[in-house]
Amino acid sequence: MRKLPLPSLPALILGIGVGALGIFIVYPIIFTLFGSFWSSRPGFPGHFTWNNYLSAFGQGGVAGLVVNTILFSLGSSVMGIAVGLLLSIVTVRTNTPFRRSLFYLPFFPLAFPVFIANLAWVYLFSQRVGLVNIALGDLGLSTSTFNIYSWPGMIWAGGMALVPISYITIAAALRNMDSSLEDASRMSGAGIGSTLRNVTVPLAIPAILSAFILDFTIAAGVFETPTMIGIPARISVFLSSIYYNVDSIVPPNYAIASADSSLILVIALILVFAYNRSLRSSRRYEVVSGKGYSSGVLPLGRWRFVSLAGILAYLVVGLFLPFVTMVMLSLVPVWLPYDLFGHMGLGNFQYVFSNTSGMVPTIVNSAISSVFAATIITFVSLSLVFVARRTKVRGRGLLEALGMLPIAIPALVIGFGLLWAFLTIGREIYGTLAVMVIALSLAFIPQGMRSLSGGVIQVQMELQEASSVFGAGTMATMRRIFLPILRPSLVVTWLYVFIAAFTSVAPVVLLSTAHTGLFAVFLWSLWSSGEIPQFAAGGMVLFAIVWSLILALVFVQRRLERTRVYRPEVRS
Amino acid sequence: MYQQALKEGALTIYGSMDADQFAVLQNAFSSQYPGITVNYVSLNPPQAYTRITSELQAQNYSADLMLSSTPTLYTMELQGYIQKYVSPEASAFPSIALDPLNGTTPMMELSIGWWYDSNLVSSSQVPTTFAGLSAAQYKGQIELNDPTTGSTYTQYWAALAGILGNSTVLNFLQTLETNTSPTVISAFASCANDVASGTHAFCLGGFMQDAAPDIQGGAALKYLPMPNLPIMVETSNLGIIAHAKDPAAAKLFVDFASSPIGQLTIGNINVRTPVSRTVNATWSEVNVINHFAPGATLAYFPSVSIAQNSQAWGALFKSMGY
Repeated sequence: MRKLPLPSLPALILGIGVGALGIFIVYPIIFTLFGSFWSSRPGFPGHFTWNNYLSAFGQGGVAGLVVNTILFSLGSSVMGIAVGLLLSIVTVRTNTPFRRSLFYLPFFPLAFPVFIANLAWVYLFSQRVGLVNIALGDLGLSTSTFNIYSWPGMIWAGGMALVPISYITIAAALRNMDSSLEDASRMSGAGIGSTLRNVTVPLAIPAILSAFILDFTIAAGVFETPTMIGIPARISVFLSSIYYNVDSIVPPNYAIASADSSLILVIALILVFAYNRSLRSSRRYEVVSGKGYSSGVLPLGRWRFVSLAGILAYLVVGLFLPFVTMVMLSLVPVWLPYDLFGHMGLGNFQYVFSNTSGMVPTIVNSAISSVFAATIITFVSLSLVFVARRTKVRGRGLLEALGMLPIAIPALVIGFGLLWAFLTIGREIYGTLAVMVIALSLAFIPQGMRSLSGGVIQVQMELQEASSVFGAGTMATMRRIFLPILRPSLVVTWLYVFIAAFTSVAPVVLLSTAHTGLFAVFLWSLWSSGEIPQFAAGGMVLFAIVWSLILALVFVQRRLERTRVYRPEVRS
Repeated sequence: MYQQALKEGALTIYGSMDADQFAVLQNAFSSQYPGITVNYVSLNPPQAYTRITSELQAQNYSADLMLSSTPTLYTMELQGYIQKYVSPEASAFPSIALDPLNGTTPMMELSIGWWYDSNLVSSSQVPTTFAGLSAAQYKGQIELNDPTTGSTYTQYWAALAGILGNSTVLNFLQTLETNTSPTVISAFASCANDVASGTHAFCLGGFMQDAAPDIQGGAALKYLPMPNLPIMVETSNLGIIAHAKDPAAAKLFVDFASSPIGQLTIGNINVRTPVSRTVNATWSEVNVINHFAPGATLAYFPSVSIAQNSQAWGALFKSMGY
């Protein structure tokens, strides 16, 4: 009797992967869309209707939300790109003093979760009581020079959060750029400014465009800044409208929230499509070749000290001032800016660490959920990237596209979709940590894939082919070739996803229950209940945890790099 | 009931009271009834509403009790999310504080007043009329809680309209919006604190329990006396959630909180007002008013009809630009 051939391992991974990803990723999307046409609240009997969209376009003011979302995302992206580009040029393409040491510093604000940074901006730039305004008042200027609760304030907060992301993308591109064109420009008599304007920046345009679309997508999907700063400024965007309609009013208006979620989903999918197109077109600008590659820098002369001052100014404004503000806020019972030192104490820390605050159990829940999410994402991402980039199985592109799909879905919408899903089908696991793990895994799987894909691509095909020649199967190749080489990437990916999951509010804020409260949601509740100094104290605890993890990440990465072995043992 | 509650062993409460203040009551309860673990989750009323209704829909019954101001709790009662239980101890409370739907038990009073920063506005220049307060000179200096949410602050303005007249309140809100573009905040408890910090000159509707500690701490925060404008008082009630897993423990806690010992414990928390008029607490209603808002008159809210129409009121305020 003839045996049917067994499917190869990559084909098996592909099949299982498409199935599992399809279920988990498409599940909340379908329920978000379903909810937008359902006449009742999640899980309740109802019928299909257009009324949710009519409500959204009527009382929900969709037109205003579209305009505001675009303005906020555009403004934040432009600011993020402008600052990120300047920082990239200074640290990568110039001879600014200490540039090698300074290169990593612009990443540091990433360790400030957005909702904590927002609070710092409020207490720096509030009219009359913000520390910057008070300092300006001491200089004879108005104490209302800056107003955080305004369009510029909201864009400032949104833009500052995007600077490190823009910097990562643009600095990487500038680092790989051949400097011979800049040298030619200089030798032709062009000055520094002219060379930057006519050569360096134009060559970086694909990276800038990619960073811009990525920033725009992220800004359009953020709900914390529009809620914390936009709502007091009377500026509503899609995400703050969704949060407002689900978690700020009694009873919740699921109709408008669902219609808004579906609309932002469509917009975000279009943006991601544009992002992918921009990545493809960027190849036309490739200027790094195998021969004659040179990575020199532009000599700034005396201006190099100005550029050094610029980067230090960014670090002071983007990192030092918010941090100091949060420390001060965490030490006072109430913000009395003209008498801060008279009331300082550790009462807020005593409170958050007491049994009654309930903080410690949420840290434990967050740790458990994040460990599971990081492990699942690392494993799944490796499998997906391996199949997509290292096999020729048909349909592998679909697998990668499915894995990257959540990047188009704002994290709050993922949570909202899961709320719909679990209250309709799958009620058994609602109220368990499994829900949190699913939400976090879905929200961060694209980050896992992005983080690992570089490492997988860098493993030379010859190693894989040699393994195959010696008769090793896919599993053996994976175990003996890929895993040892990718160990640093795997560890870094795991820690990166863990930190992202640990500090994230958006995917889980609508899913939290008494027994599944996570740390970031606990902090968010303190803010929404007006317990601001206690929120600041909790924020400092989160900050300490994140920084410990980042230090661990750096330590582990260095240790692994020292012990990395590129000569895998291949047994005959 | 204690024996039954002991068998249950635990109790989960979703409440809008600060956790550190609730801990005082929780500790007093645990002293009297050891062996019952109280798990308290601090949430503002809309958040508690969303979570409880989702848990009920999923048949995942985490919360046993909800401690919330009555505007949200009445809405939940009307929708069947609360199982009716009024503690026998509540018979000693003033009738005006009792739940007209007869399904929850009042635990403490929450007073809402208007406040100003005396560093930004001197006592002699404080406006004394609605027209004066809504004048363009105060543009950007006024803060109020979001009146569109259907919760406490929607029902606060709706109740004021019932007392002062619809036209007076609606005209004031419209003029205020047009002339001063007040800052509308969504974070509960921030209004009085923000004015205490000096962010804004006026808070129109800040809780006494948030304002009082700021005043005690030296903030230049003062009660804004407006002619005919009462301090509006709502109660914060305990309602047992439908399908509660620990109903005996929940009832035991409700009974304790409304008992003379529970009321005295509440009234000695800085600054919380018990519902009972018979306990000799530090922060009885009279003491609080005399101390922080001398001369103010009081009016209770909300009514059931306002709770039933809260969405319509919220939509009305939204249409005015809020």
